[in-house]
Amino acid sequence: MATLAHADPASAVDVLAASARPWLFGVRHHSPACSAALPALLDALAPTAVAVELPADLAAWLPWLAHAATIAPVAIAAVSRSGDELGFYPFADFSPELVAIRWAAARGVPVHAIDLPSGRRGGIERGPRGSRERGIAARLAGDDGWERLVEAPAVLAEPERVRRAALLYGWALRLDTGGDVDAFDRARETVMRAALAPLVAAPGARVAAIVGSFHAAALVDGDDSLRGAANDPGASVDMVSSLIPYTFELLDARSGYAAGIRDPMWQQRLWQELAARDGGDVTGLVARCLVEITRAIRARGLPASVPDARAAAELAMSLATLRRLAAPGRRELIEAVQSALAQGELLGRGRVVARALGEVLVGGRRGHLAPGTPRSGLGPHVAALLVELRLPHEPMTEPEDVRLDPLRSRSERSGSAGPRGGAEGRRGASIDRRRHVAMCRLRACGVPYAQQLDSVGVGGVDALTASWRIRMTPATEAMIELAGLRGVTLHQAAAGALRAEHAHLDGDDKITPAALIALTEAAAEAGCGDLVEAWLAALAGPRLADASLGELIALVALVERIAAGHVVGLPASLDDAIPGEIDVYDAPPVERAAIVGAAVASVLGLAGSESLADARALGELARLFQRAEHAALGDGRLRWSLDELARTGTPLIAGAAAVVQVLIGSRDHDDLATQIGGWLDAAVDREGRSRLAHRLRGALGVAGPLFEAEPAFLDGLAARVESLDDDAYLARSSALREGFEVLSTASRRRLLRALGDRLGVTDARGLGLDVVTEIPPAMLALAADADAAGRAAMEELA
Amino acid sequence: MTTKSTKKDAAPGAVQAPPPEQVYADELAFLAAWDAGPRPPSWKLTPRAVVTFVVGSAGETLRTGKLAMAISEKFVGDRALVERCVVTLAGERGLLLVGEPGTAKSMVSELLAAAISGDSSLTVQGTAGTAEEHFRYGWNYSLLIAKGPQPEALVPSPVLVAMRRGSVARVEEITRCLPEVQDALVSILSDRRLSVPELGALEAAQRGFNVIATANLRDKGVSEMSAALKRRFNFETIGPIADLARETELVRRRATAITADAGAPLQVDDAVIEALVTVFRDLRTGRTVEGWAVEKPTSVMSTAEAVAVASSIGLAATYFPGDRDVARLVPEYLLGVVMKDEPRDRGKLLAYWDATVKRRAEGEARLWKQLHELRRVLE
Repeated sequence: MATLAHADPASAVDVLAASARPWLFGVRHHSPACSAALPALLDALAPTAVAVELPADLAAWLPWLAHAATIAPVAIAAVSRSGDELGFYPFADFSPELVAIRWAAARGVPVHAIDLPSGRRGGIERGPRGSRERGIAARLAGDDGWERLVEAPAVLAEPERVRRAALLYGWALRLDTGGDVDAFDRARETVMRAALAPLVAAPGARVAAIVGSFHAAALVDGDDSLRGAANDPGASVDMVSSLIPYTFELLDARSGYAAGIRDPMWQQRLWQELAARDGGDVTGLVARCLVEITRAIRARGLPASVPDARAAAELAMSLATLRRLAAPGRRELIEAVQSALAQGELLGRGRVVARALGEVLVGGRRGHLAPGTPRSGLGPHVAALLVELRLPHEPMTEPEDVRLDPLRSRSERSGSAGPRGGAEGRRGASIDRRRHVAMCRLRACGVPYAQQLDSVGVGGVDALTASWRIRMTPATEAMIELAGLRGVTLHQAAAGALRAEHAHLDGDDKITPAALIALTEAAAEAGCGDLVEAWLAALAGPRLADASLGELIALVALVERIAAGHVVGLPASLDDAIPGEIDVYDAPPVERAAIVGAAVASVLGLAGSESLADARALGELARLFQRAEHAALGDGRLRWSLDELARTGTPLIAGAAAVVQVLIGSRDHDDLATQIGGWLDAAVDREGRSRLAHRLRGALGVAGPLFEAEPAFLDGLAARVESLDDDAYLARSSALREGFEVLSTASRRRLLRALGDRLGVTDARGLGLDVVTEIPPAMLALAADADAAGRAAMEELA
Repeated sequence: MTTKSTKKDAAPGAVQAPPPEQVYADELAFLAAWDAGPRPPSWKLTPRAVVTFVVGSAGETLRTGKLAMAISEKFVGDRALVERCVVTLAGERGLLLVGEPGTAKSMVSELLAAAISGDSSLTVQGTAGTAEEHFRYGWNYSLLIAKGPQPEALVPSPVLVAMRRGSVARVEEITRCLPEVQDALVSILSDRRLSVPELGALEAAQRGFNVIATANLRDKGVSEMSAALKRRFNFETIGPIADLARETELVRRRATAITADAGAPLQVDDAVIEALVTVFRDLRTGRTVEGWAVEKPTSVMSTAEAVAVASSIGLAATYFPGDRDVARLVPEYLLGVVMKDEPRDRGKLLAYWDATVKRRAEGEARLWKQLHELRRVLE
């Protein structure tokens, strides 16, 4: 007989299915077909021991998983004491391992967790599996291989046929690696073989091994042709694990969580049908789902009626017939919904249909732990952390304010302010940094604990210190419990919460660049480096074209803060890090030139804007452009766009563009000064005056500092103002005032001083032209009128 | 514009585009014998054979009795989509193919009609001038005046002919018809009957009758569709070809066929065609194959346009041989496709040249270097 490596599919499956030491069931970790087939197969085999693919160091949770009062979905989370090496193992009713564990517990059969301990998994290289040579598996079953080969034909099939199909798929995947199994899989299989050896060697033993279908060929007895070299992984590190209740929303593969599956509620209901004694009614299940989906569409106010559901059901069933299936599956269901209900719209109706589909197929089921399950996870972790950081950890009635100095490193502190805290002298993150990050993480988790008071320093620069108002309430603990679904350390939970928020926005198609920048900023503060990296890549890549100028400028600022190590949660130096809690961060290479390029491309889009923020963004862009590193970009396009804006933009934007043209040197001062004078001349009517006000606002909004430094800019304006007669001036004065209002108090004062110099007026207080008068305006008006009358009289005499 | 590219690769003849039932007569005859399973009423082939006809047999030679034949691939795309189309046509809703211009909607509808009814000619070509009688019936007025309303005086529309025969009728560009005219189909599709009040008659559709419509939901000058009509259709969205290699292959095949009509082989390198298709894909999706962002021009950048450019270049090389290197023609023709009615699109193409083409030119590829040097053509 040919070895597994050279056999044809049928005889390969014969070899795998005939293996008795151990008996093998190669599964996918969430599989209604395997879960439904498994009990009957185990009943027939009556094994003396059951082995499941679960890390050996998590075996303590087996009794709690099997407990009658534990309601799936639940998950085991494992994390090393230093905070990394996360393992995550969700279980649902349709997880074959959980089915096997429950079956064994009910019959008193011992269960063994045989997989590589989670504590020995660090540092082993992992590659993508089976994607190198996608030949055999794809030929057998197409792109969604497992679904087509195992799940879809499982309706009304003999359990043994399901087992053979699953083994066949795993064998094909294995063959597709071309013998090049990666180090991680080889390490796991080495450990699994070692764990199985004594079990199968026991006299009279019948061992059932429920493992991933990919691994079956490495565990089969009597054929080692597909094994790959043994790989003995290193020593174990100490892990903390916890059993947590889980939800279908998180189990859904699109939630961004590892080890999920698409549409868990569909899988759950399919499992119920398949596991039913009479073989179930999958066609009926599809029809029921379609009715629920049309109802959910109707509930959102769009037409979808019984004939629509019927047309979709008819389509799903005919597709199943055409594909020679006993009943339509998830694929046919979704195709039918898209074709018959979505009406070709991706947005609008398409969105509503997608939401309805999610509601029915993903579901909102929540798991529960059996009473008495050891409590672990986030709650105790946060409590210990708060004590360690000497932060309030008891509910309190009055809030407490703290001021932190999180960016200062420990060595500086000990030099200046003296020791504070017990472990000084040791390198690592200062306690203020740790406190700050912990509070940012709690905030990211949505836990009401601390509120940041002021985040901007004097003059708009990044603040060095941070003030927080802490108030712990009973709600704090409740929310920590909830956040515990997403991880067992604060770091994981914060990353999970942020990821969930991202998935949520994504699901609603509300991932605007602004939202993503805000999320990235929150992730940076919470020290979630991998999220920052992924989202920055998205922002600097595909999202770039959607962003507005202001958003792009904000993005550049964020990238620069991160690269400079100015984000508390992402220290650039080892001195400021504490492994597992706050890791050193290597800022990813983000192509700033590409962002600036996109910013240039978006300049024209401002033409219709009336917002001062947009005008200021334009100024920021010009400033970015002056940096040496962007010199290579070439500013031809920017110049052209600015010309366009100065000619066709709204008054505010045209004013700003005119100034930016001077900033980048595409026109000179005098030209601008003359033009500003022209604006004043043109302000002859109400509309003209409003234009003047807006143009000045735009110009000054961008160039406040410039005007201060070089009042020559305002020469044109000043010269015209001086030559105006009082009536003409008064008519324009409110527009001028409105225009100059954008200046800050300090800028305004400097400007007045400069104007004073120009007129030769000096002021003892150094305030230039800032005239403060005690005389009521009405009196001044009377005096001015008298002056004017006197002048008129004089002119008549002359 | 829509593609009428049903021509088989090499079939020069008097007619520019013979219908598929004629071009593929041998395949259709073979498939009728190949799958003898149950057929929906009036269908010439089984649903499975229809799917095979449209997507081809993937190079495999099918056998039945003494006959053996490989079915050519006609539609490059998702097999599941074709399966859904076929299943829809066997059911009680019409099929509406939607998508960007140039994604082979019309071709798919012709192929389906040819395979199912053996006749793709029962077609209403929708325009803003299409009137209700194009969907229902008109009159032979001289006969009408001479004899009064008689069945002989009635001129049936293609839809009515299809109803009488139990065939598939096609409506091209349905959204270009005015909404009230489109709605003539509502009762036909739901009741499957057409009343002729002048004759006091009710024409009932034979089993097997159905309608394939194609539509562009987003182009200029298209009309809305009423919710009532939408409900009578299953929608299938035909997208651009997902895979670069397959699109390149398709463009090469079609361009070869077009230059063959001119009596010459295609003298364009595969590398040039691949570069051309790459540019089209980048500009179509707003994202390069490397993942860099690109500004999308407003013009249509479909596979059909890529075919047009490739064959134009091929014809230029045939009719004006030795004038210029064919690669030098690429930027000119690209500009012609990109800059249709929006002057800013030129800026976008330039930006693409300055960013993406430049970066590729910095790599090793000689062709991209050459293209980058041709930037001035675009200015």
